[in-house]
Amino acid sequence: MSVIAAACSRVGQRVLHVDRRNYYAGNWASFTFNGLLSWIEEYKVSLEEEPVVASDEASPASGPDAGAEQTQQEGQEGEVPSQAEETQGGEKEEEQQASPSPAESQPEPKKKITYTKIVKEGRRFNIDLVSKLMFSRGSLVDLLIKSNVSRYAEFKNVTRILTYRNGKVEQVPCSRADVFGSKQLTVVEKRMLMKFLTFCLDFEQHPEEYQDFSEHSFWDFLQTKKLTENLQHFILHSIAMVIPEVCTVEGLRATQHFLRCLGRYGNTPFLFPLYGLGEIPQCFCRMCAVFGGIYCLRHSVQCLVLDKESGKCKAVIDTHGQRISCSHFVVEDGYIGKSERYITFMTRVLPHPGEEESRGPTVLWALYFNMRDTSAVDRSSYDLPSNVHVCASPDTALGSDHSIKLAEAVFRQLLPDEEFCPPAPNPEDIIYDGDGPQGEGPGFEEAAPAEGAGAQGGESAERQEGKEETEGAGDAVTQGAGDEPSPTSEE
Amino acid sequence: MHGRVKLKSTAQQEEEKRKEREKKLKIYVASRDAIFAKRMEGVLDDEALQLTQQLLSSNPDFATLWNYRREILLHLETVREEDDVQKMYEAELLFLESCLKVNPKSYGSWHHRGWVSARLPRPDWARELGLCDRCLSLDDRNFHCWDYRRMVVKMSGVPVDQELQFTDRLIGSNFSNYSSWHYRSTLLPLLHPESPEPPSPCHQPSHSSPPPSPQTHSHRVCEEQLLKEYELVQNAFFTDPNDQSAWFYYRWLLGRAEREEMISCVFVSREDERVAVAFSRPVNASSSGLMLVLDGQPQRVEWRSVHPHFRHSPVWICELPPGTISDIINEHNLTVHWTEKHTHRDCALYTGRSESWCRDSATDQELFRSELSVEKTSVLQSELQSCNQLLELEPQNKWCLLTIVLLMRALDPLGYERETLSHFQTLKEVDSMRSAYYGDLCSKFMIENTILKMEYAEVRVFSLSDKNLTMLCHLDQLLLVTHINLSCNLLLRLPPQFAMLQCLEVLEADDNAIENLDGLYYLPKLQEVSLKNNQISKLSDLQLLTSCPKLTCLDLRGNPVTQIANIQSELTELLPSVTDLLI
Repeated sequence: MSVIAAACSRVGQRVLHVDRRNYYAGNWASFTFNGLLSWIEEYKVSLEEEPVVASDEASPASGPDAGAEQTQQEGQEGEVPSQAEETQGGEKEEEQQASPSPAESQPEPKKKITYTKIVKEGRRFNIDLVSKLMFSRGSLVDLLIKSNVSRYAEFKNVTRILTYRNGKVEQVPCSRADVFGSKQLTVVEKRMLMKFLTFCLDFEQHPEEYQDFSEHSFWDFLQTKKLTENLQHFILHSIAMVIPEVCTVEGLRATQHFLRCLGRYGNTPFLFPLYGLGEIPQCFCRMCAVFGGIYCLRHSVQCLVLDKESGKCKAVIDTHGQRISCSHFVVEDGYIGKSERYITFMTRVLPHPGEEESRGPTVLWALYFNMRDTSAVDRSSYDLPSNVHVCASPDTALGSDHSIKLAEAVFRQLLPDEEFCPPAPNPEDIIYDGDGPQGEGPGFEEAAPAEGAGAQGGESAERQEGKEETEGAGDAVTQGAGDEPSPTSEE
Repeated sequence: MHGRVKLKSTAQQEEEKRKEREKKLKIYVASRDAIFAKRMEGVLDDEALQLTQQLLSSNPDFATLWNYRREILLHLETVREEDDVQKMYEAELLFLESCLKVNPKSYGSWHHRGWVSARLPRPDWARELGLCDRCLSLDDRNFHCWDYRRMVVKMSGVPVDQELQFTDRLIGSNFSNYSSWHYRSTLLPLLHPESPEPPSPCHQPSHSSPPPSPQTHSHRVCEEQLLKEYELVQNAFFTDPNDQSAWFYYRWLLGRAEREEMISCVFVSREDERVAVAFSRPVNASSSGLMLVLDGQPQRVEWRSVHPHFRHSPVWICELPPGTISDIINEHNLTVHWTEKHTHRDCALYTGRSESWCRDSATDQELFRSELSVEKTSVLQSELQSCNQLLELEPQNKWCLLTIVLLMRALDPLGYERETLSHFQTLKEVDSMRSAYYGDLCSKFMIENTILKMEYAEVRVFSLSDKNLTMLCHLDQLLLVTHINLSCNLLLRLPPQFAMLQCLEVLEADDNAIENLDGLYYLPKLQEVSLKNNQISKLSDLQLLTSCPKLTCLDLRGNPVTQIANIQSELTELLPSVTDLLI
């Protein structure tokens, strides 16, 4: 994944990052509406299934990734179970256009959003393939800050949190100002809510409050806190954002996390990249490239070459038949096919949530597709050479903490002695050749030609390989246990 | 370790920074010297403007440079066309914005901005308001900006209702903001005055007429609006009961009656040929135009306060010329005029009476309810209910407890006495840092209650023993008291105000920790003093008793002073009139 690539590149490793797609960020990508439509078209071709016309939130029919499975088999290679060819990790999508006509035929005084309008204004918003937000004190934000990667993107704070309850879209009072301003809560409810939230902030300090419930669910615990139904709904679904059955401590922890994230950047705990979540992997790609990483889109790995004795992967062969030696190989799990469970994503365009209370929001357009969730799969369940590492797909959680944790874990395996994403230096502090007193090391300049060369593929990749072995024997095939890997992955 | 980006070491970076700083300093000092030289020569030109701009943009707190700039601008104003002056000042505003970015709390920049805005031929107040809004959104407690904003609002005549909406917005985003709450308290009486006469301006805000000045209006707010404000502020203190700002605003809302200024009591003693006058507040008799008329004849008398410590006092005394009222068979009519306040009080001394007084009693004046409010009882009652509701949820919250105590005082001080005492006990426990404050406040309330009880019983005996009194107050209300019992309290002294008890005959103050008797000063009728088990330790502390001519009984048992050698003879010498001395 991009984070691993950036981390390796940052500490001086040679990185080649290939992706068969023509865009960055893989499963994490963001599209404009028009971009999304062509993305759908692209995958429709590979799927022969009849489009199930789902009228509303109904789950799409299953039987999802037969098509994906097929494509995966193309890359089957005798030596190693590596499917280098991949689609979006087994997505299936259906498209549904929910009657845009009534809105058009009966223009109301209030501005209506219609399907045609969405298409027309398709460049004015982005759609993320995974619905994730950034907790403002989550590990992703921490990493972005620590590594200075945050420089490469702009962020905004989510302005309010809404919940759907009793047929109405309501604003969730979560910060102090929200609670104060809320019109739905009585003053006593306000006090009870604030009291509960204040307790959650440092619940570990008051074990007497919850230890009797350690065996019970969070929901049971909430029942005992003199909270009205209203408040229980807000806390469970919109603040802790957990299912009622989770254990008390987990629920408290989730609430605490939410609250700790409040106020850092604004009135809600969430940040989002201004141009979609797809920005984040791209920012790490940029970081990787700045420190010499090489990127190839529309390019993929066909198979791995294993060393007979050690059983390690010593090279990969790309779709051009080019052999590229490496000391490590990082691959997204989508390439090695292990079907687990599926997330259903649904994108709905809501006309002014919260304000339109008279009649609920109408679905103008919806997209259903499945994305394989392998976040819980243990690496050992794959039968892989020891120097081949797997990155899981996005998980179902709202934050990205799990993925960041995995990325760091892979990095630790690759380079146990190196720092994970240390801050990128300020440009003025970098010493170029002949600039500083001891300017002998290769800097940025060297990366540039290499990148140009890499783009040509073929021979130049070979050449680049040789370069990698600066100190020793310049044999492209020999692959010692050197510490310079060429981690490859898609995304 | 190839392929790594080489970085400058910390030492290298430091060195570079140091050099950079040195360079800056050199430029700074050179510019400063150049500017001072120019000012000495009295040069008021564009170049000077530029030089000061350079320095101020890095250090906007250099007040002298702002002064110099104003000199230059004033000069340029005289030699330029109006359009150019407009441009010049607009540029100045732009420059000031950059200075405010450097330091948003720079006194010099904000002051200069106010000055420039006022001199601008065609000011753009909307823009200035926008600037203030931006600034307050970054720091809603920046009082420089609040000040400047008030000036902009005044100059541009922003309608009051808009300003109220502005405070709504700021309080909505963060209610922990004294400035916003306070601003509301100044706007509401203008927008929703208590008197029903003017049609409510909130329906039709008049843009043309200037906002009514606060002086011409009462500081009260109409009930309808008050109820809305109670709701708003309750939302705040239910959300966060530990935030003081909302509680303070609430206290303001509950009101503070302004007491009528008047002469509250005139007392005349035939035997001493003396008149004592009590006022509703401390006054200075010599400057307030006090005049005594006896039987239609203005008298030339010398007013003195009850104690030499007080230049202002609520009680003043004068001696009548000898023989004017001493004959017991005559009736006399006195009138005391407070000319400054155009008020007066009459007092008749009837035949055969040795003393007489005329006054409003504390109960007539509802004296001790005024602390909180003149609001309707029903309103206060429902507020008390809300606070009790909060107290149930937050039994330890001091602000809630204290507000409940005040509401109870306003509603029925005697009826709630027991609950008040128990709340004070809790307050001392939960806020032990301020237990002395609560002790004093509780003492005050207990004294008020005792005065009320005394008034209802129509007696001249004040008895308040064993109530943990830490201090004495309202002593002006005790002008007519003849017997006082303060035993078994925590008093440390009898303060100078104690001298207001001009009729006092018997004082009991056993079992306190009194070490100072400043207040036993010239009490003409005082006969018995019992001060058992106190902390009087020096003979000199008893010196003042010599000014009480009728003192015959003195009980000092259990005081350190009794350990002094020869105390008996010393005291007999000091107080020859005391015949009953217990030591």
